Amino acid sequence: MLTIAEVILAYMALSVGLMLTLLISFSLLKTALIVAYFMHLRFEKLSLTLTLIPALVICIILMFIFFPDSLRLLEFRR
Amino acid sequence: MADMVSATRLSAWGGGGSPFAISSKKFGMWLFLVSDTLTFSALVIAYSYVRISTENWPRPFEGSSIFLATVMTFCLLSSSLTMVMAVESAKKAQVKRTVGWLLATISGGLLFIILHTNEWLELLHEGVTPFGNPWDVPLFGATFFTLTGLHMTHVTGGVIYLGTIAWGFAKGKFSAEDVEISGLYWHFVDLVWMFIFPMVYLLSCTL
Repeated sequence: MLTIAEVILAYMALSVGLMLTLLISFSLLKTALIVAYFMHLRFEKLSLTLTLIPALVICIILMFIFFPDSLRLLEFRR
Repeated sequence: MADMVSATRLSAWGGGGSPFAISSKKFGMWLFLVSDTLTFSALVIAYSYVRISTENWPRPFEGSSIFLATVMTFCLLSSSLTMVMAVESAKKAQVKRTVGWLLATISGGLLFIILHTNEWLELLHEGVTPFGNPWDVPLFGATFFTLTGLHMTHVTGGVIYLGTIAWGFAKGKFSAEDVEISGLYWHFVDLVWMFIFPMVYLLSCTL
């Protein structure tokens, strides 16, 4: 269901930023649902979720620090 | 005295009970999945970085490719569903059903691999390789093949893993928990595809 929404979204002529945000939000929503229910994390001890997820999110956000550099590179190449 | 002894046995720091109240095998799988997530995140972010900094990124995926990729997505999603059913029947100790559901999951994975390999062959036929392509943005092929290649390797490994678990569970060598742990891995593989699919395919479709 979410996947079909994503595919329809891809063919709508939205701005790149908006489309990216929406696609990633859909993916994050799918991820949360799969991890919670299929992978059963919702029914495990809360301490497990708190141990695994925040550290993962922080590490991924750390990698985002490089994105302004890609914009610099784009300008540099023009 | 009796109170002190039982208190020590119950206390987590006293050596009683396993952390998070799950078996170490399961916890080990979760830790592996977190580390593998970081690996894939690094690759996806590198792909995003390269894509943002390149003006003329090609958008070659026509309707038929997107259709196939969507079919592949549903393959993995339904294999995740059959995996959940397998774990359920494993917990109820229904051996034949579990093996049946596991085989359904494996066939979903195999179908994914076949469709994906077919797509790779088509792209290679058009001249898209990890080192160059007709649109003169070599990084397109490099990032595409790395991302999807690493993912397909995980799917293949997962299919072999699930096959082993199915065989072992049928023989009584593996427990329902082992089926559950292999389920965790399989859902992870599906999740990675949930990210790769929109970011690589949907963002590169010909409008």
